[in-house]
Amino acid sequence: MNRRAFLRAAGVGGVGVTIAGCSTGNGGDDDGNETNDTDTGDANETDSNATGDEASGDDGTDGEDDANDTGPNGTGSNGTDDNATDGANGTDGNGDDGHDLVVTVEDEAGEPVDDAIVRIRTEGDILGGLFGGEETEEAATDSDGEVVAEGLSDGTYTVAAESGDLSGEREVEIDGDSAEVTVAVVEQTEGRLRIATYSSMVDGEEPAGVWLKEAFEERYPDVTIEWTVPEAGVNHYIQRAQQDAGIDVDVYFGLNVDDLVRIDDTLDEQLFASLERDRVERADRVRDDPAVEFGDPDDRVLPYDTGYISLVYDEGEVEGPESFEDLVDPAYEGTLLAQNAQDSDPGRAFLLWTIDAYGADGYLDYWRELVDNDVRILGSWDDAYSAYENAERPMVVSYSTDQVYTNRYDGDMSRSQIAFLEDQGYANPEGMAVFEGSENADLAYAFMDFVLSSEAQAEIAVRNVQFPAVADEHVDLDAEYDEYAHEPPESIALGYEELSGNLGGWIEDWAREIASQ
Amino acid sequence: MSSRAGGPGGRRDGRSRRSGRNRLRGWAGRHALTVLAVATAAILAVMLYLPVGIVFSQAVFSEGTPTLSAFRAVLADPFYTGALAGVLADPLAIGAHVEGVLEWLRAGAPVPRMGLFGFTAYQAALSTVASVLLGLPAAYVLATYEFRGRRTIRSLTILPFVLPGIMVAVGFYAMFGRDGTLNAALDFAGLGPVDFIGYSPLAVVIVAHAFYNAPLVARVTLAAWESVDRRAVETARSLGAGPGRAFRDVVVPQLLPAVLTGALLTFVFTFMTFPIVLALGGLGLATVEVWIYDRISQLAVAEAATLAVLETVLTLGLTYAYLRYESAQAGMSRGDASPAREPLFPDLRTALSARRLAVLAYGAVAVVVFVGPMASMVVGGVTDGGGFTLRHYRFLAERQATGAAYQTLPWPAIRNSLLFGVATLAVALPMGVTISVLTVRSRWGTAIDALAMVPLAVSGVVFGIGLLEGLVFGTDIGGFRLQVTGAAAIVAAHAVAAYPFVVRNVSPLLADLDPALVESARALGASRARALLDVELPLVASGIVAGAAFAFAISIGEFSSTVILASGSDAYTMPVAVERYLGRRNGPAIAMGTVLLVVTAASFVVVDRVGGRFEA
Repeated sequence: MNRRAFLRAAGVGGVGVTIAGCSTGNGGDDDGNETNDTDTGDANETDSNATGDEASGDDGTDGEDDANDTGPNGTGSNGTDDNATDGANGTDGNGDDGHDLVVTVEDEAGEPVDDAIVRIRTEGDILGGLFGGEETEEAATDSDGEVVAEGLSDGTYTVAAESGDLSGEREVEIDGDSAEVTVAVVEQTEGRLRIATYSSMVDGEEPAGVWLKEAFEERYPDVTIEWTVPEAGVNHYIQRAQQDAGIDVDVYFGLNVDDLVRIDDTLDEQLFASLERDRVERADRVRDDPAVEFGDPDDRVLPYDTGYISLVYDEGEVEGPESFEDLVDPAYEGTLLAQNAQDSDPGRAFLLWTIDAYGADGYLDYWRELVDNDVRILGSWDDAYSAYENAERPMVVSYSTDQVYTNRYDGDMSRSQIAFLEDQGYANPEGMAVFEGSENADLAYAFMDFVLSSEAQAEIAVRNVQFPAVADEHVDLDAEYDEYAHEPPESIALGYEELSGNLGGWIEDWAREIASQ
Repeated sequence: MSSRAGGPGGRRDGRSRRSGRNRLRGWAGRHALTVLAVATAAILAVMLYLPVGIVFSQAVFSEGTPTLSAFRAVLADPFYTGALAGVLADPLAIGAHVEGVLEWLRAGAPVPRMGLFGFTAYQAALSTVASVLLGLPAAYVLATYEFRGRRTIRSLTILPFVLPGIMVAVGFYAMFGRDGTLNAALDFAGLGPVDFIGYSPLAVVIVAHAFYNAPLVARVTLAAWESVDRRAVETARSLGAGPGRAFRDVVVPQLLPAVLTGALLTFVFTFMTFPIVLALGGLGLATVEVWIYDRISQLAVAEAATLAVLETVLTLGLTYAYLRYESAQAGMSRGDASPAREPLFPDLRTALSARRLAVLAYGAVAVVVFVGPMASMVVGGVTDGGGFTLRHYRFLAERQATGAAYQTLPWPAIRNSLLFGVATLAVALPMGVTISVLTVRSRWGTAIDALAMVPLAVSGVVFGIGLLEGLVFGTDIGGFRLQVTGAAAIVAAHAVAAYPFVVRNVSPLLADLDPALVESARALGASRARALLDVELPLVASGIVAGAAFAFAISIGEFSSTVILASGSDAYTMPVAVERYLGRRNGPAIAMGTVLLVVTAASFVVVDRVGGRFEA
């Protein structure tokens, strides 16, 4: 562990810093370096807290990256070191002398970068940091891509690293203990990336979109992400294309297979560009599983998460059904709530699941039996779940992550039981794609690559309450999340080829059958 | 509008030599109606006829050539038109149809297949009956009795009108569900539980429609009731008519047009019903609008347009028929002495009379049907799995405090809703009054009046898509790109949706006025606008106030066109915020729904109090 130290505690009270081994500097003035613990201004306060959390969550997940990506030099294990290890360096025990900050610099693939120049900047204490803080002298990383800053007092710091054309920076909060931070250096671009998505991505509780924007903009300080939420989703852009009204966004975030089918049924031209996979280094991290496959012959979509349709039931009222045949058994008469497949995602997934099980020739017969057994098909997922919550029926078609919410909202677990019919769950992967003709393709690919990074995958899973798109070894899920989010033994989904040309007819036939009852 | 009219020689009223300012006022006075009519026509052209025309034209043009084949396909499809499909497919094969009818009779005349259109009309008719039955007693109580809180209750009657469909569904499940408030009350009384919703989904959907529309019937009827000329009743009584006879011969004829107006509006509204049938009744009770929405989401706009045109033709035809009837009812009311109200519970003995007990029984029904779902919804906003909680309101507060600009924040939603509501009033009232005045005694009045009802007779889904394609994306008109979005467009769209309510509340009262009143004022030198302002409007103030309340409510509750025109800007409103806060648990959305309810209730009371001053 041969870290190069470049900052050392000095002065009274541990708030000033002097520079070890460097002769020049722009932060030499002791007074100027004085930093208040948390005085970063109201506007920044929540930001710095948030990024502080990210930094600590990040250590674990990036460590995972390192473990897989790095060679024999063993920095992977360093990455997951906790603070106690740093304490062993001895400086931590000095209390007033401040804390260590271990900085690891890595490149986009997670490889350590040596000889990268690292600078640490304090938050300015004038006008909430508006004029920036003082900067330390620079130091270069060692062969493990690391340097140690010593003697830092509590507060928020910006760590900037630079290596040739690559650079990056990251905020870290030091709060009573030593800390470590990994800074990824990437090719910096600048500009504005406009991303269209659905409303819960930015407007829900703890939405993933807010985190993605903040984390990505931290990595690329000269980039601004603009979210936009068109009411009609992808249809908005299909219609724009039809009307030649121009498309003013770069990326669509939140596509599913049905959307692709509808685009191709409606438009002659391409709405989304085929992926240039070599521009997304992490693209091959996506797991090899039907749960995240779009089966798109034009390869336009990169999945970022997936969910499974299952039944949610009240174990005080019914036993969990095990098969589709169970549902038409008299024992389950009048127990099931489903949704209108015309415009509800879980409703449509459930319908497609029955088509997978009984075939295009047999699914309507099965649904007639379901109707005879008094299934009730309401409008949206919200409608059906409202009915379920008020005990209208003891079973509802829903998502296999239901218990995550039940846990979060102190609900009754006995009413949040998951049944995987035939030991299966119907997968509903969500993906992202770049609009054909986007002038920000570089940025768009950088964003997509970032979305597949370990930390982003872990955050999206928890905030969006979905399952990661990448393979297990590339993501480290929160334990609590893992406990309540259930994955079916087998995931199934009809892909693009099966749906193309069939989807509309299947749904129409089904809807006419139900509405004519 | 020629300038000659303002010139020195143009006046014969003896006041022409006053200052230029007065002359201007005189010009404006004489042409005010013309100016208002042109402005109204312009707003309607851009915000209604253009977007609707863009979509409707796709039903009759297939690749540039006009065709009716799309209509033929729909009409001949038993799924849409049920047992009539055979007749509509080949109307001239009379022999075969007669044979079919005989066949049907021989089979014992079973209930024929209704088809989507038939069922839609059927549930709308039932909903109309339910709304009238539930709404008329409310109008009776509010018009006849004086009691504490009467004014406030009157102001709040149309509160249900503004609630987003999803919130009504939440409220109905929380009230009538197996675990709902009503079953809890029954359980307390040692009864139940009763599976209200499961027992008859159709009945629950109809009650939900009555929840929305009975207040409409009540408010429209009440406005007419309050302008019944008390002296006419007194005259009848002095001529020896008993109270029942006086009511039947004097009051009922004046109320009937209003009751029928309320029924008509209810029928048209529930014919177009969409989210609530799916939420409470399910796909088995699908209406035409459900299919239109599906066609739009599949981007099969031409098919959606075909269904929507048929919807519009049916509802507009009904409206026209009704208006023909209404225009034949013009009376001679002078309506400036509203009826006296008697105390509801003057003493214990009266309080126990049959009539008072019936009022109490109605009150109990009203509490269950109207207050119950709203109260249950409010309770849902302060509970989660663990019982009482303020976390949903904390979510709203935190979003307001720390939310980013691209997120939906509660306060801008509240502020926009109120601003748009007031602005809608300012636009819709003059529009509605202008159309009322122009149509009420004109030769083509009934036809124009029926056309003025187009906003109610057009599918909301189709109107939304028309706004998107026509105004948000923009339309080329003679080399000029017409593109309208943002706050002004939202207000205009709200005004277009709201003015028919002003017309429908004002026109019957206006038609009921003695034409001699205006003629006298004109003979004495008043301009048409002056006569309108000074003579007619004060006499129909109760209708204007009722229309204003509806206009405000329409604006506050409007969702589908708001969300399209507000896209990408921060001009979102409270119902939009409710929808955007929906997640896998609906607590935050319900909390926002409660805010919507409280803010709207407060503004209704204010609108009514302010309006009441003009009424008095």
